[in-house]
Amino acid sequence: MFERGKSREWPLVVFTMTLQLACAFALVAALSDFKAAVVEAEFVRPLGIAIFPLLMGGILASCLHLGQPFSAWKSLLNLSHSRLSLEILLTLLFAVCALVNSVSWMTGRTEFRVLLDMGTFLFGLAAVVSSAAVYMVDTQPMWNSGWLPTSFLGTMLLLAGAAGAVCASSANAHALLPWFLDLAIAGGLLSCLSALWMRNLFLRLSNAKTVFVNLPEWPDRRNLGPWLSFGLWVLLAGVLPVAVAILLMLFGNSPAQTSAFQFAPSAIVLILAGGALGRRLMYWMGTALSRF
Amino acid sequence: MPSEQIAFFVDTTKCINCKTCEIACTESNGADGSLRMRRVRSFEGGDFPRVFAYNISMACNHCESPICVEHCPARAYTKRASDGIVVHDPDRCIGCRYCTWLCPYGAPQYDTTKGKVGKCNLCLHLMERGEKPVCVAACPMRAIEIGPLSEIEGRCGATISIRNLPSSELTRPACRYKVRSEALNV
Repeated sequence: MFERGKSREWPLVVFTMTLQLACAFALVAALSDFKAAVVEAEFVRPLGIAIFPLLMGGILASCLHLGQPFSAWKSLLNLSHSRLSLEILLTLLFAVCALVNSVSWMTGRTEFRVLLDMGTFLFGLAAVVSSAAVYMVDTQPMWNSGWLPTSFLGTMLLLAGAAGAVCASSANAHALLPWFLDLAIAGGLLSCLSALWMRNLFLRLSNAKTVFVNLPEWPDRRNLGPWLSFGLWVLLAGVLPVAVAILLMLFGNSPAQTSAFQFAPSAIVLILAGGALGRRLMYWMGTALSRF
Repeated sequence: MPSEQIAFFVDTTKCINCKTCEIACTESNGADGSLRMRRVRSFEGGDFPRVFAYNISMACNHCESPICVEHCPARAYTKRASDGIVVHDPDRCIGCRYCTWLCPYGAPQYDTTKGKVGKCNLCLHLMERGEKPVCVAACPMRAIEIGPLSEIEGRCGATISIRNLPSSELTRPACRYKVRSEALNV
């Protein structure tokens, strides 16, 4: 029997995380073009190439969420009213831009590079914002709040900062490092803020019996699962990256900083894991709260 | 606006929570028992000795501002102009479950075996033959009725502002309930 909260939304967790990661890569590429000469920005080449395959992976994962994956094209039939249709359209436009951009990075062509990178980022940003707007409908009080876009944008900025810092440090492009560390700090702080905002909203709504009639076990403190997910989300996609970025800024070009960057790729994996736990919690809260 | 909005009227003061309506609906429409398009919920409250309980039987409310119709990306929902019934077209449905997230009453339900959503259509196949929906016909207390909303609204005690239900301002559900005073959202 189908019950709310029993459905697993992992394909959508993968989709939202890859969409934000792809947008983060596009931001790093655009920022590198903007702050350094195009030729000097070659250190972000792996990120530029990765945008399109990453995004396609996310889009394919999102199709697995559908009961009828081969009818996915029908989701574009209500562009005038449905935010979901609009999100899918913007994601497809982002994918087209990302394809051209990735090919440009792969072939090493530098004409229109700045324009392409900026365009790809702007389409990516529009896709991320629209993916947050999908959930912000007034019949869903848990999602219809500022914490959700804050969380999506925070994760994107955090991933951009972390990925940019890894590339810049590996190519000894130290001039750009402070920019990326600033991005990581801003993104991590936004993630922490959104997590606390979400928690407070949930606890407030839990007491509003006019909204939800059948509360799940959370916030029963004996049910540790959601609390554990919440803690790991705040820790991995908020507190830890911010702390590491602040330490790296303070220690400058010391050997400690250089050795710290060796662990940076695994830090991105941890941020993704933390962000995924946060998204899973988001879906769980929205779908598990049975109203009737 | 439909020319004549058809609506459910549920007299909860008669409802004894026997769930016959729920079972009849599931037997008739419920895709081998996996969907519960009509559900009966019991609510309790108050402090001893002033305690109260009431039962609410609910299916799709065929809302006047149906959020499923507005937001379905595949346009699988339509609100019929003739009678205001919100109909779901399974041939158009892609099983994205967006409607199951958005409906404040949990009316659309996902059928895992078909990979599509299903919901109450007021037993259109029976109504077209001049018969009543199965929940109306099956209720042993005669607590569920259907009729034009304009007529139902005028009935004694008919309300939609009920404690524990989402605000009717969200989707303007086309159904009315008769409830005890404790169940009124004051």
